[in-house]
Amino acid sequence: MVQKADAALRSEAAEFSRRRQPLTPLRLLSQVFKVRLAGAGLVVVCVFAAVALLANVIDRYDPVKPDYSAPLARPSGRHFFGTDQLGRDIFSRVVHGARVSLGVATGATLLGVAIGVPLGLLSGFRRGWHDDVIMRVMDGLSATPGILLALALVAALGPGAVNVMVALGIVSVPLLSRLVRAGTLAVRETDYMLAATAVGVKTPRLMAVHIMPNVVAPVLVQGSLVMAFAILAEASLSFLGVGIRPPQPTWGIILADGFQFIDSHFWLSLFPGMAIFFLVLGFNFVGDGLRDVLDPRLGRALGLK
Amino acid sequence: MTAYIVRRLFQMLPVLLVVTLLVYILLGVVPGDPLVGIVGSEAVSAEDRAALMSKYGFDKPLPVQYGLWLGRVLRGDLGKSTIRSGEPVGQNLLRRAPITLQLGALAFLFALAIALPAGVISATRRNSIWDTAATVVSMAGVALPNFWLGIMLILLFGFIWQVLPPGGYVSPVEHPVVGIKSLLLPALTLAGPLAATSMRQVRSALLEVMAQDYIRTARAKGLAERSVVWVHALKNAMLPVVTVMGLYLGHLIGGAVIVEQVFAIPGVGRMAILAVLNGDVASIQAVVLLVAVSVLMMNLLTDVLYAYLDPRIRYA
Repeated sequence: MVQKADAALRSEAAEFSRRRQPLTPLRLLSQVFKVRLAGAGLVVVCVFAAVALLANVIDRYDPVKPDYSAPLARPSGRHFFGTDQLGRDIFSRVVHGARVSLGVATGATLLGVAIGVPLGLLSGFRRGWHDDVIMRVMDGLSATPGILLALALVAALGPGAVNVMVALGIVSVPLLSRLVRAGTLAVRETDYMLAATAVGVKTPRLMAVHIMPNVVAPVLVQGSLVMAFAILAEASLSFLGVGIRPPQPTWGIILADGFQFIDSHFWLSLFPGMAIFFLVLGFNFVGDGLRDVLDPRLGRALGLK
Repeated sequence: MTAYIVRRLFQMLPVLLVVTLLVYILLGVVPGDPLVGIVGSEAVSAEDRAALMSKYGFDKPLPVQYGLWLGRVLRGDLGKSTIRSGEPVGQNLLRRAPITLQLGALAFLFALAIALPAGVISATRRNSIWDTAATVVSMAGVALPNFWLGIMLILLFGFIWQVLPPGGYVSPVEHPVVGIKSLLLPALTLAGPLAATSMRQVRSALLEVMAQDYIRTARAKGLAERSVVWVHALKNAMLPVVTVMGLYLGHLIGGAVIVEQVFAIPGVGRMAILAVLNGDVASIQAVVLLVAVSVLMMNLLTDVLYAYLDPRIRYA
């Protein structure tokens, strides 16, 4: 699998330089469209981030405290998104859910980068048995689909926001480390690396100054896609009842609550789902846009799309 | 070709070993009574306990324990469940696997049935309204949470139009019509992301192929456009599509975990969730192992198919 990725990377790179075409108006238009989508994605992400930060200001009711006087209310001026079976305001719960969702996803992504990047650097720079061991473990980890691996990890760690975060962080490590490894391998044999080694640059500096800049772009791209994955996965785990536990308002839990009343009160399920959808869409757009701007060949070569 | 397959099978072995090691470390060494995974929820007397502990090697060092566990797994003994009053995990798995397989196969067919025509139309009528519509739908399809799509389909087809059952499972082998009906919505839900991704792949691959010289030749000799696209272009365009669909099969199984829960289908995915909720370690291990092995096998199958479609790969 790893060899395949390397080979693909090299042939893609060759093809890319061969295929570079003149910029026609149509191509320019599609570039602008792509960048525009990325811009729209960034706006969506920023709006959600603002909502998450200002949740305490925006919410209209306590997202956790039941209000038995108004259970299962329709959306109205009082309750924008209606209320759930315990009379809790869905709008306020969704607003606070943004905080949990973005918090867990950010933590998971940072953790994945913190583990995956050094592993990939080590693997690609040292080669030899480091590389073999690390990459076989990564192959093993990625043989299990992400959501199932996360489920198993949460089973081992126990439920709760922090454990979900750790589990999703670990799930994202294989992809990130492979990406960094490929980037490291690509520059390892270049003349400027040889020159740097020849003038006596030490390994840590080699990695920080000469290799890191080459892997920052793909990590940034993959990072935004990991965010999208983590948001979906956290919502899924919470929906299944194995992730974050009630009464903490998360989108997955709000959806699970609403699902019980789907035949009569569909709006309970409508709004949290739309929140997940738009935030994930936003991160996908940002990731795609970043990829187009920063490095069009890396992501495609590794089949990350 | 045979040599290629054999070589790939051997390359799979170390990965498989790593998977078993990960599964064992992750879930086998959790704090708690190790015997639970062996005897299930049965009450055990103190003497039996000691005897069982030594029989299964729990008094030995961890690497030895791992070896013993691996040996039991290889002989098909996956331990006993703590729920369902100690039923052997293997039996439960064998009963559920066909259900998930039916769901996955149907979802895969749906994904192909959506992605191929949509991708071809997108590519052949580039920048038309159909192309734009397909692009928007596919972008949305990737970002849609699987379970939410399922819930919305249940709402529409199950409750508002009342044409399909909102959940539950009936074996299509015993009752073909009712059974297929019960699988339609979950399969469609599961197919969503796969269809969206592969549609984009079909589109971009076909666009690339259509620009090549042999397509011009095919047109020049007067072939009908339909046969140029569907016969000459599509086979070459399928290469990247096969890769992506192969890689996505894993996601399909992952998605099944969620979709089975939403539609109350008693498959392997539901077994995993029940096991996690009940701390049933042996069952979780079994599901993860089964899925990992299937994913690895499907990766192999993808590569073999790839080698078949593109002879250059066989000799690389």
